[in-house]
Amino acid sequence: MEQIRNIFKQYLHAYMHHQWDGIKDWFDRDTAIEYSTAGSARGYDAITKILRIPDVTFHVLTTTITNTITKSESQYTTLWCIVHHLHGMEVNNALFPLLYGGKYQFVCDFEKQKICSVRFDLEYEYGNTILAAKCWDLYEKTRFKRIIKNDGLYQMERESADIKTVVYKILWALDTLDQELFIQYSTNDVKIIRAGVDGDSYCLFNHKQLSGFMEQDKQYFDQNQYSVSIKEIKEVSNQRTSVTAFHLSPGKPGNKHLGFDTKYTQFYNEIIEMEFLQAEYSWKLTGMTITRKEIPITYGYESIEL
Amino acid sequence: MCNKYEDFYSGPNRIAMHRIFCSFVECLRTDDFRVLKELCTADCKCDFSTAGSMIGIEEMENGLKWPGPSMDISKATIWNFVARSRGGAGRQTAYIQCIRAIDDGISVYPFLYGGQFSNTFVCENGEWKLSDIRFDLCYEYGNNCFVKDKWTLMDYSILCGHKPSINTELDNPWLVIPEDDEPQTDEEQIFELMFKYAYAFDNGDFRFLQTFVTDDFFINGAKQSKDHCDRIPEPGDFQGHREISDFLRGKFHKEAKMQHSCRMTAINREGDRALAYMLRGEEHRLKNRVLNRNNIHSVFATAVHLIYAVKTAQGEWKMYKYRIEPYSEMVTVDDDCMLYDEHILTGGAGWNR
Repeated sequence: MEQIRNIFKQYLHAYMHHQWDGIKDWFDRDTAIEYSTAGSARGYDAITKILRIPDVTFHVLTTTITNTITKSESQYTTLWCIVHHLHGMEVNNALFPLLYGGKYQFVCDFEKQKICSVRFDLEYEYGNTILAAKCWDLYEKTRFKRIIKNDGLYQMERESADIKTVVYKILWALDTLDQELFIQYSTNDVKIIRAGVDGDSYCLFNHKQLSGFMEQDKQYFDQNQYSVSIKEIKEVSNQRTSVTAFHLSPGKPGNKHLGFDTKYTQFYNEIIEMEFLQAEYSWKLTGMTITRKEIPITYGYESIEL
Repeated sequence: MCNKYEDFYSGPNRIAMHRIFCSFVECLRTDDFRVLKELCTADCKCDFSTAGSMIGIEEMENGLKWPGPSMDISKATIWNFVARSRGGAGRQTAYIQCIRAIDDGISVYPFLYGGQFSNTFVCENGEWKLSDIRFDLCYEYGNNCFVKDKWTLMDYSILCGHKPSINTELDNPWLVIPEDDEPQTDEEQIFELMFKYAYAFDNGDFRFLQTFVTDDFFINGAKQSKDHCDRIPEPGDFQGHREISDFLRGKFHKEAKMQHSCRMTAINREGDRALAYMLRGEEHRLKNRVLNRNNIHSVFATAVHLIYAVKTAQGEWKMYKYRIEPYSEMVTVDDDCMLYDEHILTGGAGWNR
């Protein structure tokens, strides 16, 4: 699984810097990409052409990867994750950022040593969107389009998953309004208390309310995605484990500013506390509390996986 | 300026300065400077942290023009307006928040900025005119590439974010003109307590803060709303000059430039006590919302500031308690709406919490 993470990071580096030579051998004429923003292409030349933002030179390029899930089936390995892309220009210590993020599905054939497919669904955008508008579709055009299907994320019979993977699948289900996926990894009486922005809150008390809760959550927060950094996994008892995660919100820095001095800062705006019960083959979510708290953390890296 | 504002403000000098400042902001919003010579003296000095320094009408006409591409949406709203005059000299401060955006029929591509004005007026032959205009950018957000290489923007790593045009002490209207020729109404004074607080906090003048708050001034920042008399110490609560100036100074140092833009929303008054509700608008911090084609033509509220005021034996209003509560609101307005104070426009009756 480390191998696909490494190839994906190389791909992201090539994408951000438009320096594809180092990863060229991983493409063949069947390699296909499908981006909700840039569209579809097949083969090295076509792919590298459409992924470029023309006429702009960016000096600041950062990527942040979160919520990584991996899975292998025969020679194919798939990686799902969330990526935040920051392309920026700097003049006199002022930053001109174009920031966007979304979900990736990245499939490799390690027998052939090839990238099979790359899919991307845009989930939010921020800053100098006009720079990308010339060549890409942006959020208002793509918001109801879903390129990545969740098929590969469903739990197969007797398939076990580690707790981080379950956390990411639960959050993926909330982002994509996928009740089936959520139900697979939660107990019937799962309870969620979700803070709003004005001291208000809304709740989920069982699976029957799931559809309404998911809709409400989507409508309440514009351009939201549950991108997280897991901070603590704690065994509460023999069969119970708690997880604390910070909710990453690069497009909503709250009272802070995305500027020249914070280009390597991650802006978190919520703390997510989750509790899991060990079921027969997998962990199941029993409770989740989301509270608001602005936490900026400067890691100082151009590329980071949280 | 609509008649309701002329009815609200006391004194012809203040009304004249308000009218001139609104016209000046309208010039910026529309990029039409034909009336500038009627608003400013011929040798008017103009110092914008964004666009640079200019002297005289011609330089201002050129220097203040929007330097970016053609825009479909242009908005500018005025907040925290203060004007004082004495013997033919006037000093006026205000915040503005502006949105310029391209609308391609599907998405909007906005550029937002907000900043502070501190302006000097002179009365020539009975006519008030701007003689010195100072503007400091406080924030910018969105498609700031529209003004890249044209304006100086924010370096958030330094105090003020740029070389300041406004000097905290020298451009403070209450210090420059301690005694106004035109006494203000009770309502003006009560709302102005918030504008004084914003000036003191945003410009880091904590000695000035002491002049308009009571000795036992209480910031009720804890979740629980409480009266300052039965104060139970909780994180977020602060009382007295020492505690409060230390707390605010700490906050002040954390930001390059703050902008507490508030509007006059409603007053509940009982004798010598009053509670003013003042909605805060931060167009660049919409919490759970993102600017889009549906909401860009709105005036936003992102919190409500509660100003508790008491009238002293000397007849002066002072702030004895201050509290901020979370609140979100969007009201659709015309793009040329520059002033939106519920208390003035609707008597505060239309505002329900």
